[in-house]
Order: sequence, then structure tokens, then C-alpha cells
Amino acid sequence: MSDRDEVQVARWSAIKSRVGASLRELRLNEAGTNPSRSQARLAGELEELGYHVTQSMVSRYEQGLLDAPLTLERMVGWALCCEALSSRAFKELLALAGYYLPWKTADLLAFDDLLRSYRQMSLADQVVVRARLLWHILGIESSDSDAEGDV
Amino acid sequence: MARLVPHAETTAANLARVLRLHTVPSTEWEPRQRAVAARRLLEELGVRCDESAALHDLKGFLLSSPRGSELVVSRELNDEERLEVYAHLIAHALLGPDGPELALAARFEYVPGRAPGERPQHELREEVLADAVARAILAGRLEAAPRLIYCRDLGPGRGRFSRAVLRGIHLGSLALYRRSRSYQKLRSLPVVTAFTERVHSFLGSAA
Repeated sequence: MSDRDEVQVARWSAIKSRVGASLRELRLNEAGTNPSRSQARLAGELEELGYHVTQSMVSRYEQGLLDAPLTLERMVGWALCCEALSSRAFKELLALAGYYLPWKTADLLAFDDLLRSYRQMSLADQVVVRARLLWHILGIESSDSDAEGDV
Repeated sequence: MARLVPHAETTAANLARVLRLHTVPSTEWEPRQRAVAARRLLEELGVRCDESAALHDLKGFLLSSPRGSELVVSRELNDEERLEVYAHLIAHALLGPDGPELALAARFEYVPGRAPGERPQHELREEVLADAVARAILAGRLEAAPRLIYCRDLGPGRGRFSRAVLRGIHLGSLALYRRSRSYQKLRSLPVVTAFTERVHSFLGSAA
């Protein structure tokens, strides 16, 4: 295993439980009015975004059991599929994974507005918008240049 | 940071000009030609256009971030409808907030009758205004809308007093335009447009 891989694995090991718990919280949406997404539906939606994440992987990631690091792309895609996503939760999730979201208050409010409109759309429209959003959001920069693309 | 569309004022003015040039009444290929010209222009001005999306309740949407601006339109639309979506979304870009530019901004165009029931008042107000501005763009006469919508800089003016009067007139016109559909119709009449252009030229040109 290369030094870089070792760092990556060690880093993921340190955060995987917290990232998993955070993603589970977003999916379950206990406080929200909308129903939570099942693990199977989430896996299907991630598949539509082009990420191969099975229901079993969703379950194991949420429990912090998978050793394969969850990529930034999958993490953002996962979060976008969740009913409980808010700008604050999104920023916290990415910070947990080592990515700084350079959004100011106006950006956070605008993103919450956007999420509100997005959740009122039909599923077909959500799928299209989500794929585009993912592309735009992934322009964010890593807070640690060494760790770019690691998590 | 990104605006909804880079150089929205220039984009809207050029879109209106292109649509005016491509107006050939009573020809069956006119809508197609206008739609193609509009798309080409938008792409030249840095707005990516995708007309192949499988949308259901949306006719299209505009997303903007530091990665760029993109306009996504439903593949179900015909040329005329596609053009209307382009004009409407560019109108939204013109009406976008004056405040700080956002990291991520979006506008959605719904199929009539399929917009969500609960929309914030500010969105509904912007929608009404965007309707009027889109009509001006589609008619190829952006000047049929109040100048402050498509040109925030009113120029040097003849002096402080005339500049203040000019600004007052334009602000009043904009406020009326926001509130009154009758004024929107009146303002779009060629004779009224010509009159306001003259007033602006008189007060707005440098001494």
C-alpha cells in the first residue's frame, strides 16, 4: 500500500462512523414532514446519478462498517438524494469530510430556497436537476490540497 | 462567484436584437430559425444550453455557479416554446438580485398548472415581471421594458439635478411596471417607448 493510500485509509477510518451517522440522519429525516428515503430507494437514486452503491453498501456505510472511502462525489450525490438536507447540514457534512464549502449566509439561504423548490418537483424533474446540481457543487475546493479527491 | 448569466444585460439585449433580426412573419420555418439563433447566441455568450432533458413538470431551468451558467430545456417543447423558455430565463437573469453574487443560483420554469402551490411572494412577483420582460425580449424590443431592468447605469446626465430627475422617473416607471399589468402594456407601445427614449436622451446625455 502506498503512503498516500495509507493516509487515505487512516483518514477515512477516523471519520467513517461520523460521516455514516450524518448520512443516515439525512436519509431518515426524523424531524421533517416528508417521508424518509429507504436504503433501497437511495441506492437506486445513486445508481441514476451514475454511482454504483448497493442497498447493502448504503447500510454498511451508514453504520461506519465499510473500509472503502466514500468519495466526495458520492457523498454529495447521497446528500442531494436526502429529504433532510439543508445548507447547514450540507456544510457540516462536507466539513466533517475535510471539504470547506466557501458559502456565505446569502449562499446558504439561496441553497435552502433551491432545495425547497427542488423538493416540490416531481421525481423525474428532481433526477435531472440533481444531476446538474451535483456537477455545479463539485466545483468546491478541498480545504486540504493534499487530500483533494481522497475522501 | 456567479450571476445567473454572465453579463445578463448584454445577453438580454443581444437576444432581443437577434430575435428582431430573425423575425420573418408568416413563414413556417421562422420559429425554428429563431430558436436556433437564440441558442447559438446564448452559447456564444457563455451559457451552456441543453435541449434534451426529460422533464415532467418543468419546461426548463437555469443553474449558475462559478462553474458556469447552464440552461436546461425539456425535449418535449417545440421551437416556439423553447424560445419562450430561453427568453423567460434570461428575463429572470436580468431581474436577479442586485446584492452579492451567489455561489449557486437557480430559476425554474414550470409547465402551466404544474407549479408548486406554495411559492414565496418574492418568487411570484419576479415571475409576473419576468413574463413582461420576456415578452419584450421575444418581440425584439427590450426597450419596451423600463430601462432600469436592462441597464442599471443611467449615464452621466446633464448635471446633478437632471440626473436625479432621470433616476426618479426611471425608478417610478420600474415601480409601476412591477405593480401594474396595464402599465406594462402601455409601456410596451411603440409610441410610449419612443417618448421615454426621447426623455432619457434629453436628460441623460452629458452636457
